[in-house]
Amino acid sequence: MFEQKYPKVKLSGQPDGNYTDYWQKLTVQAAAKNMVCVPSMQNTYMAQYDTRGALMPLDDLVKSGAIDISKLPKSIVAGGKGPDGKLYMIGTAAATTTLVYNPVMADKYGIPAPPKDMTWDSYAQWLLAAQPKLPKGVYAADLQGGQYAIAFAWIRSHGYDVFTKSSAGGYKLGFPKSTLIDFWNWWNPLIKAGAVTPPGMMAEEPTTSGQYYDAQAKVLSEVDTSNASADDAALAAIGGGKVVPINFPLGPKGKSGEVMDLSGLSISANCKNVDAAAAFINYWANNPDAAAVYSSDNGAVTNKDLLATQTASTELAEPIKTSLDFLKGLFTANRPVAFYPPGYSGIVTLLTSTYSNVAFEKQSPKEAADSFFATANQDLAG
Amino acid sequence: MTRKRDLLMSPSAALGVRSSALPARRPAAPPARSGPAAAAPKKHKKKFGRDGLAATIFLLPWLIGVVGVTMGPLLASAWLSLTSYDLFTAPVWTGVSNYVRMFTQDPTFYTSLRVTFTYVGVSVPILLIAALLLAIMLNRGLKGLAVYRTLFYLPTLLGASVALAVLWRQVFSTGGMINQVLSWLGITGPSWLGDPSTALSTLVVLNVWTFGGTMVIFLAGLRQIPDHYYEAAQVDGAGALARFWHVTLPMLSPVILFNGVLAIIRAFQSFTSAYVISGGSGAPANSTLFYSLYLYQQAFVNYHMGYAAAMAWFLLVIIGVFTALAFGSSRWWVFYGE
Repeated sequence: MFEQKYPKVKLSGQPDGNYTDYWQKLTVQAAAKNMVCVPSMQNTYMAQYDTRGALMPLDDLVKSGAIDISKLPKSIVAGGKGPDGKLYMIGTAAATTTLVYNPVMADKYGIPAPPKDMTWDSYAQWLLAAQPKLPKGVYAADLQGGQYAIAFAWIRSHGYDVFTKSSAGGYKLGFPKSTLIDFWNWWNPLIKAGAVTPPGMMAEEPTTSGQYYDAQAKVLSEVDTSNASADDAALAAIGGGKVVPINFPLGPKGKSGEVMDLSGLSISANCKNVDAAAAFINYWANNPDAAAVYSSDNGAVTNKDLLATQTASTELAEPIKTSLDFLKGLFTANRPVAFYPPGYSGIVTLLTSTYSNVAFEKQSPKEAADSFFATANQDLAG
Repeated sequence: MTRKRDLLMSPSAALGVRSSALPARRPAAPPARSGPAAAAPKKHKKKFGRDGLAATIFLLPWLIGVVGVTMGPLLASAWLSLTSYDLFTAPVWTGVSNYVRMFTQDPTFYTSLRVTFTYVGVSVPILLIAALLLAIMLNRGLKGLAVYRTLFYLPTLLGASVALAVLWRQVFSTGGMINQVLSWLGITGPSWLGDPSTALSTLVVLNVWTFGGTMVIFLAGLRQIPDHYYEAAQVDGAGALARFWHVTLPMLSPVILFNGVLAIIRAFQSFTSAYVISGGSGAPANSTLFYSLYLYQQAFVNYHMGYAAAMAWFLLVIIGVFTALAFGSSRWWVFYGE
């Protein structure tokens, strides 16, 4: 389609394998300064590239009109900027990792929907009340004290940034240890009541969305992506069910810790064909045909007009429509795009392994928090 | 009593076999150069030169490989271990700070060492014993030996593959095959992979299960032991256990050394099984965090290439020390024939 519109441009795609493989490959390409002209980018990894000079600032291309960002929400444009304030990514699809629950399972066992505008306490109460109604082997929630999205949502909802700049020039954790300890302790009543999966199930949970415990009908609620297409398909294969996104609980002062994640396109610093690259990005950000073909498969299309067209469409698959409606709510509430510093993926792994020590009582929450802060701050410092 | 004491000596002495019948410990020393040979050094040198040239030509592909492919990255990694390098920007010289951090500021480094040493210490002896016992069983003139040998070798072919690790994940999961069998016996099995106290043992079992390669080498070694040693021992009144202890083990000791060194090196470098089974995290509670897995995390998750290079060099030292210990101790327990 793009080549038909721009016959002088020849596109050459690259096989990207799975998600992890893609980023490893891109890193090696960036190190060798032979990155593809237009790499797929995400806010989760962007700082790794833009702070190290691997991406080209797009501000001049926006000023010249080569890339039109007038239809993108301000929060989406801001999410594509690096710490130096320059634009490095045009976000073409927004998604979020949030809480989900299975309303079909809830109805079946007489469990009400989660409370609206729920707090962390009311969410815990809902889980505790739900557990006795569920059959043996099914849990109200998945034990996710080591899951980054819910941990970071807790931290933000308590008024802190997860990461901040350090005086030495790198980054550091932006919240006190007590916040993390409180988060880990929040799970204790749920563990004692058997309302969450036992610690032994943590390591056994598959690492791909669509195979998590919610997609296996083993839990009523857990953290997952807002697009539940894969979960619904998996549930259909084992007798039915449905997964829908719900907002993360609010903090003690009514603050939300919700953020959006952004997928988009960038231009590599070594790109020689900048005009064609800009045209390609503009095409994916604004062209109705491109949006229709992509159909918000990897998050809601960020162009407001195109999103309105898609949410009004009757042809959209139900899980994607549910996800789009949820994400539209995040746009309306002006939720920010999350910032992740270079090396954040190591922090995610560290959080999981550290909480594992707490869950198996190998460390007290305080010891674990001390260890987590020492290692994380060292890694973030660069 | 005399016979008993004799049996504790080397097989050649114990069995009254002339030492010339046994393999020599070392090749005989070349005869001293004297006479015509010593008087004609020029001719000898010329012959050596031709041989040397031929040897060099045959060795050339290997030499090019070592110098051009292996040595470069090897030296580069030694240098990188003394730098801070994130793969994107140029390495910055930091001296020995990576090594200092490794030994003084990184508790996870010690966790990964503990896990790896436990894994090596448990899995290698079990692997060697299991492989040796099966090799002895197969060496008893079984019908269809080739079929059994192939069957036992099959897991080795799959060995450290991702497919096998995925299969293992299924076998040992809470609802997996092992717990299914246990449930038929009325036993509720634990979460083998999810519990830190049992997760590493599943990896040990996986390693031991791939005993085929080790077993085949043992089998070849067993078939090299001449029958008349056993016959002589039997004549001297040695039972099955005594024959195993005084004939089989000493005669097989060079093979045990070879298999042992290979198994130790392989176990220290284990990666795939832990990576697949723990999803790359070393979960649960770092109980499967092999040294090489932690090294991978530092390199390709945190992009601490300099630190990872330092870890790699320390692993080389560890493996070198254990290999040296194995060879150094061989003079007391490996029998090459007298």
